[in-house]
Amino acid sequence: MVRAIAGSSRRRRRQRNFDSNFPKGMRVMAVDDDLVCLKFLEILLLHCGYAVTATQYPCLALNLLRQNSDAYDLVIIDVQMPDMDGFQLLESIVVEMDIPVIMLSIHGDTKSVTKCIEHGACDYMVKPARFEELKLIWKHVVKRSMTETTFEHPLATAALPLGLGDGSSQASGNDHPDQGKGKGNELPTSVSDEGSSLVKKARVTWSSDLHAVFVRAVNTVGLDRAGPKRILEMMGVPGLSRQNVASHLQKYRRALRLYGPGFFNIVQGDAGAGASGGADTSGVKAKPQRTMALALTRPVPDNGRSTEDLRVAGFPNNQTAAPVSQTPMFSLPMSNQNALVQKRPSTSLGSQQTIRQISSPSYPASIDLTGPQATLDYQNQQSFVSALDQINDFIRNTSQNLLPSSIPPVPTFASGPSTGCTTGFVTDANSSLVQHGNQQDQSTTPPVSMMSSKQDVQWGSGAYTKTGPSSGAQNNEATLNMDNHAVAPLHGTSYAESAIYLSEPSIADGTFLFDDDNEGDDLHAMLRQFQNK
Amino acid sequence: MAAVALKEQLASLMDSMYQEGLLDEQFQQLQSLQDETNPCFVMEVVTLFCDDAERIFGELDKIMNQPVVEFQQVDAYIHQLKGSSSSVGAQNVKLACIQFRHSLEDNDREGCLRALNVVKREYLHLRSKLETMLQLEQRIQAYDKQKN
Repeated sequence: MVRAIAGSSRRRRRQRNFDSNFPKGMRVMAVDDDLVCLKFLEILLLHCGYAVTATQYPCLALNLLRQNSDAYDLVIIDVQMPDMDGFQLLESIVVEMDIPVIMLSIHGDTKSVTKCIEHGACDYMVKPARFEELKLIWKHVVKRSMTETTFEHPLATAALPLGLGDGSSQASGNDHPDQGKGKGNELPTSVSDEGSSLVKKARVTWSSDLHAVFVRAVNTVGLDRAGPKRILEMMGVPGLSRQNVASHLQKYRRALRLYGPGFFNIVQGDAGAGASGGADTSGVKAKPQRTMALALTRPVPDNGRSTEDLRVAGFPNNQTAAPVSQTPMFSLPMSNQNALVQKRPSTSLGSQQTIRQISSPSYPASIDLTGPQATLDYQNQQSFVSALDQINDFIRNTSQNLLPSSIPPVPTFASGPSTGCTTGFVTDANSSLVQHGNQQDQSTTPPVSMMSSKQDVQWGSGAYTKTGPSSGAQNNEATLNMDNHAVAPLHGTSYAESAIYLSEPSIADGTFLFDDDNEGDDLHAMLRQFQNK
Repeated sequence: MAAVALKEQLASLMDSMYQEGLLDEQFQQLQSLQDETNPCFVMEVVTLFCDDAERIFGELDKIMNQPVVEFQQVDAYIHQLKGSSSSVGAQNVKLACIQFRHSLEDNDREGCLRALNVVKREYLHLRSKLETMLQLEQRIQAYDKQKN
């Protein structure tokens, strides 16, 4: 049976067909700001027979991955990078894409390693990387492809016993006496049969109350300046972790950008009402029957717009149609769902509870409008539904890689990057290495036009990072349009996605990717538009 | 004949560098990665490392000369230098970086300046030896080419 997949649809399970040469030719992306380490890593990877894309620039790496995550099998990231924290990049990849990530660091202490694994890395290596270790990294790709589509990543669905339990209204977190019962830690069978490296954690269910607390914190801090750590501190919810907040923040930002703040007014209104009733900063009351975040495990027919009572399919205990006071929101998008609306039956409590789930392949955002006041009549649902229509259209369009009308066109990549951000060096195991000094090989390696023009000169000085705008643009375009990686020009969805990323407080305007004022106006105007939301 | 002498010279230079702790096994791995497809790999990496190190020293000088020293930044640069020196196999430089980071903990400007000088000294010592090594290699390669 088709099972729901956590996170965005970009994280859909990829079915891999390994060719007979595998692991030779496995496509690895290496990201390290230190050129010496990067070069060394690249050579080692090439010696292992992998196809390597190496870059000093995490922003660029993320962009490449977002544009075509199918083009890469594995990513290796340095933990310490000035432009973007390795953990940030790791989280983005983990939440958005289904690619195994290996972290690389100078430090090998327990704390660092644990932190990496907690953030979703599948492995950890100490610099300098060893050939013997790199020879075996392909195992992570195989492992990932073997796990079933039910993989639910802790980051996307990380939960704690907050919303779970046995009916008591405690949300004290891990030390709850009933925790040991296992309900809090109970995961759906779809996850538990994993052979994956998942840690079985209970998951946070983002109830409307909790979300309200979250939104209040975000608004206090300011969306532009909001970072997960600060929001977490402001929320003051015990047991909630930074990565829960980080992933939720990402989804929130994305949903805001896509659907506008008005979309959330519905939620916030009700959530606010609910929250004001609840007021306890633990945020969430236990759900008697819930053992997991709301997850559709099979496609639901798109008749959700009727007020017909639809059960949430796939719940182990869903026949109970739990009379929950809180139900999860921001739940998981389905891999092949259109937006749908569900309505829960009246509960024995007498109040009508409505679950609204807007799930889409790409944009997770489910809104929960439960709570004693959530007695929304059909009228409201209809207007809501028409909003869903728009979203549906939008999703359909973007999934076809068309420019959504709501997002202004942005410059294509060719005109963009210049100073400050180049693709580093891109090589392919099958082509001869574009090695500096390997003059005779220049002609056979078209993709690395940047490097080929500089091969004999100053390779190590980082000169290619200082190319001027005119040459840089062309080179970058050529470099990106590689045989191996059908990278579309940056526009539409992917850039819009970048816009989300750009609004992160740590990335100031203009320090993004390309560091180029020439391309600034259109793009920056668009970015400002998002940042002002 | 001359080629043999050169090769001996090179061999003894390498031995002394390993013995002094200027280089470690990592450098040997670098050398093993050099083959027909990457005939200049070692030279490239060494050049990269030297350029990188000198860039970092330049930045560090700037920072240390400021009235208020940003020790965080200093730490970041030294961290980077430590990473690249360990990738290259520049053992003494790496060890000097580790020492530097210890002295950073005291946030003591004078201590840091001293430690920085140690790192620089080690680096310069290594660089001159590496230059000699590369020159010898190039001459040997030239001889080999002539023969063939």
